Amino acid sequence: MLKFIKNYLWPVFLVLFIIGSGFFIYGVYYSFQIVSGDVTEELSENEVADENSDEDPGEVSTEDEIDADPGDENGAETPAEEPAKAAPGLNFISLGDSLARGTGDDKGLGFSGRTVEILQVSSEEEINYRNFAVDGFQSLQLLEFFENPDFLKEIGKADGIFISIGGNDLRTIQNLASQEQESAYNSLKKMYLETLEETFLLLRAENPDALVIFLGLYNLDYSEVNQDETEFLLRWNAATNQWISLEENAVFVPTYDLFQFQLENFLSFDGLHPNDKGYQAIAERIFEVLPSFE
Amino acid sequence: MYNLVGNEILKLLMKKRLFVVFGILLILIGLFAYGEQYTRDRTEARVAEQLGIDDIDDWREITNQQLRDLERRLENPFIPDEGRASLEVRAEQLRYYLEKDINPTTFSAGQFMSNFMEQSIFLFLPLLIILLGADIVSKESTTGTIKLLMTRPVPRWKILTSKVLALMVLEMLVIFSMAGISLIIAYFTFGSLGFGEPVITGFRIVDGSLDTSNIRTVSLGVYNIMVYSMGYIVAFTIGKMALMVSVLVKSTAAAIGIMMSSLIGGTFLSFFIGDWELTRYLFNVNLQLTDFLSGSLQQVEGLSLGFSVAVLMAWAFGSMIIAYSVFQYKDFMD
Repeated sequence: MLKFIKNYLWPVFLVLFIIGSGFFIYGVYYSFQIVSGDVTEELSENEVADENSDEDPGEVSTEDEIDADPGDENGAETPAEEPAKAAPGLNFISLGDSLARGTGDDKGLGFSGRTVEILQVSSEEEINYRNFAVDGFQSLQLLEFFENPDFLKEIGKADGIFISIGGNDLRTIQNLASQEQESAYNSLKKMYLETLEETFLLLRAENPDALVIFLGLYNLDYSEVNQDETEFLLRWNAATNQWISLEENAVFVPTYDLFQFQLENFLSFDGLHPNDKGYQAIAERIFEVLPSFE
Repeated sequence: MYNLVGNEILKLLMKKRLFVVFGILLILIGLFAYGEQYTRDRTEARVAEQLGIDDIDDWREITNQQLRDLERRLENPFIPDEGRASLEVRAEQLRYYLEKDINPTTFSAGQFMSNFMEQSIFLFLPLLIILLGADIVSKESTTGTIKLLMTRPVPRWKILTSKVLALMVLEMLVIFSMAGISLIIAYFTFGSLGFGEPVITGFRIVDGSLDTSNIRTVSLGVYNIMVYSMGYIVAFTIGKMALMVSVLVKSTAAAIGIMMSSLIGGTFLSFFIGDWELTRYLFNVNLQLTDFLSGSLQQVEGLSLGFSVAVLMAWAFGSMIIAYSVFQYKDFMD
């Protein structure tokens, strides 16, 4: 037995060790490369561009976006970039979080896209619509968008602006202990309203006339289990409603009542975002409150 | 030297500690795999119940929808750069699943392997190594065989070196058996290897927050090699420290006790005084090397893969220096 171990097992161990060392040296080397972002072997052009923009995040990234722009659009709009208002027809844009972007919608239109669809049926003018919303956005992130000159150009062109924001802000207090929620909610709401004010200031500086359609929040749980959170949500909606309604050329569209008895029908797979029916219902409601665009 | 190391390996195997380690691994991995399977079945049933569908067979449709969703998001020209990078890799992942006809919610043996190492790298793996290494010298002191060893015409540093090398070989064996046992058990439990699946990695921590602008995917096979080599770095360091303690104290029980308490105590310490800058030089807080690959945020600020590996290597070398200088001059004859 001893002889067997010493004569046969030990050399096997040694070979294993050498092979293993090879593997692990490769593993450590590769880990370091990946963590430091130096992997070059399989980089596609796209990723190289990304890396370049990393070194100088401020300037280069905006240039990047300009470069990316023409490719993304359907050529009709690009030549008319400069003489903004000269573009024919009406311009609608959608800003804010996943709801504004249309997450959960099979057709990917969202409430804004669907509103535009309904509008297009009755309107003779051509309606251009672009969606700049980003999933998971909170109010501060939307505000940061207004630092981008290209984005401001889009704002300047718009006749109607759909905004859905604040849901992700409010959700941050959900995980807190209930005794902390009240104070967290108050400071959060204060910050949110200030951010909203700032956002409108920047928006109006660029475009005083566009109609802003601001979407209210719906609840994810209308039962009596979560009364505290429902109360926060209602207060949030009320504050936003009051603030938006006092603004000129802006309308607050509530969704709380819309989803109240239809929650199961209107929510998509993820249990968070509306589905086709939900978005369609919101769009129809918005259509009802819209003025006629001339 | 070849023979000396062979002798040491022989001694370690005779003590049967290694087989205890294998036994622990077998039982623990078996339990983990069973538990994983159990919770997965449970969640699946619960989700199916919540959504009111019998079973989630139409993963293809859901994945397709998610992919379309991601692609639509990428069309937005004003998306932040880092957001774009993470969307792109996630889309790449989904495309792979669709292309290869793999249900993304299923669990593969490769995933289990890397999960197991990620979970055990900071406590379980060091414990196994301590179990193996902490008595490598002290056992000989206890039984008195060290005197026999010293009377042989071999310089002392050679004896210690053979012990160090033997321990390194066995550390490798432990890592290999962790990989092998978890692979085999997980393959029989979950039914697929999945080494080709793309895993997202390449996170960086900049100013205390996760930077995702550089993330990319690697195949699960390569990811496993990376994760297990991180495991070997940890095993290497802990092995050296255990050996040092084993040189310093005479009794095996004391050696294991010292190593275990410093391992667990240091983790507590870093937990309570994470703000204190010196804690980042403790070996305990630097053990979770795999976190840098998987992108989990560290509880101690200012760590990076390079820093942590450097700290661990410093501990290993420091231990070696102490071990050699003590072993060279210690009087074993009393």
